[in-house]
Amino acid sequence: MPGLRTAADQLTQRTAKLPATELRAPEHVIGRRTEECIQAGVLYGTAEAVDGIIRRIRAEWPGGRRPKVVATGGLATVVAPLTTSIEETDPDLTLRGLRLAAGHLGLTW
Amino acid sequence: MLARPRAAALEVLSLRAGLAVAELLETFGAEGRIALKWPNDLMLDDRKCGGILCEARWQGTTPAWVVIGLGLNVTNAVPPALAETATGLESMLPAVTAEGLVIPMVEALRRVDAAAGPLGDGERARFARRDLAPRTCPRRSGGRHRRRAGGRRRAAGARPGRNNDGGALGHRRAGGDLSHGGSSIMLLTLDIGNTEITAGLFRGEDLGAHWRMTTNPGRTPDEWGSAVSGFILAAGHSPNEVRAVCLASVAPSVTQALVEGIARVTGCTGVQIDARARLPVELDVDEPLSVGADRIVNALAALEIYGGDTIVVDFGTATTFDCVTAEGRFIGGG
Repeated sequence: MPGLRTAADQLTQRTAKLPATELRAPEHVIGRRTEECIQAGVLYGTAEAVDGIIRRIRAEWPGGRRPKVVATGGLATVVAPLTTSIEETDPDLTLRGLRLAAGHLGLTW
Repeated sequence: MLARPRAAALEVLSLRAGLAVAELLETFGAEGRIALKWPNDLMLDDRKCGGILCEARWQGTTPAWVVIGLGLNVTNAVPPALAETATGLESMLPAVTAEGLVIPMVEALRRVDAAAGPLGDGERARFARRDLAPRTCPRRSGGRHRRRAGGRRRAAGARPGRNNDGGALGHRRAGGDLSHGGSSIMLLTLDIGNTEITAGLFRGEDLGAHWRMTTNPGRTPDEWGSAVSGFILAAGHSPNEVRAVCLASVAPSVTQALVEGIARVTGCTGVQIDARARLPVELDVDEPLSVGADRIVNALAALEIYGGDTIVVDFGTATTFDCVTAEGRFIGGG
């Protein structure tokens, strides 16, 4: 699915009047200003979509086991608290994976 | 030489080895003429005559062994172009021969390996006496000139802004903790996404400085090199501390220029992760070769850090879901 920034930027670019928006969660989902409305839609929309997709992935998971859900990426700390399914947040998980890969491939440092 | 120092001694191994080599060389008629230049250069009369590099091999969180690498120019003639900055031992010190150096050098390094604990006060003082200023020291050029003209005269602690640990120690500490290795060597990792590049420096297993750059396909290798080295310097490190580069890219348009730029400033050829990399993640999907490098790396991290069945939600240009089982199978995602 489109990333948060991608979604917010698309809204701004494809419309005449919508402003560029800072990605942080507004206090209320019913926005009273245009920026709040965009923030509510993009952030709560993404959070609900993530929870929904996780629910469906879990239903399909092999062996009926229950996978753990870990969030990463620059905006993980913004969205993860808005979801119910994300259990761990590590914005640097990909870099840690690269460190592990470097070890497996015999790089030394 | 292979060493197996204990933890507290490991942190200072390269400093202790440098001191031992300097003191040994001084007994060959170079009293007061050998200096140590951070991070790992040995200087004779302010010209480089050798260097030390310690590299640790870790098993989990414990060091299995450390290689103390020592290079000294004993017999080679110095090319005229380097005469101001490099020197050889035999030409400057009549008492030195390669054969005569080997045994005492091995003995000195064995004592370094056997030494326990952090540097003692005596070692710190002896190191400080031989410590050339870090690059940022404003009085360095004056000091060099004075010493070249008349040998070493500077007393310990005479330079402003030094602390009691000796300058090199204080300078190295400023760059981060030393818990993973005797010398300041690092892995540079890069996650190259379609809109953003995340980069991070690892010392051992610990992630230190990390930063984000815009994925700008118009940049030349020189521009990338300058950007990366700028971030490394801002973090209090030097690009020549980077000894390995590992990257995952889903943006081929920038990768070549970026990797070339990094090679220019660090001297390291980057190792790029893709679906063919020999990693303990099985790509159990219909088109394994089209799995993005970032997803493979996420799956590996999930597997080795969290252990069990894991879904990684990555909030990047796209929000993606990577599914990896406890057995190490990447079974797809969304």
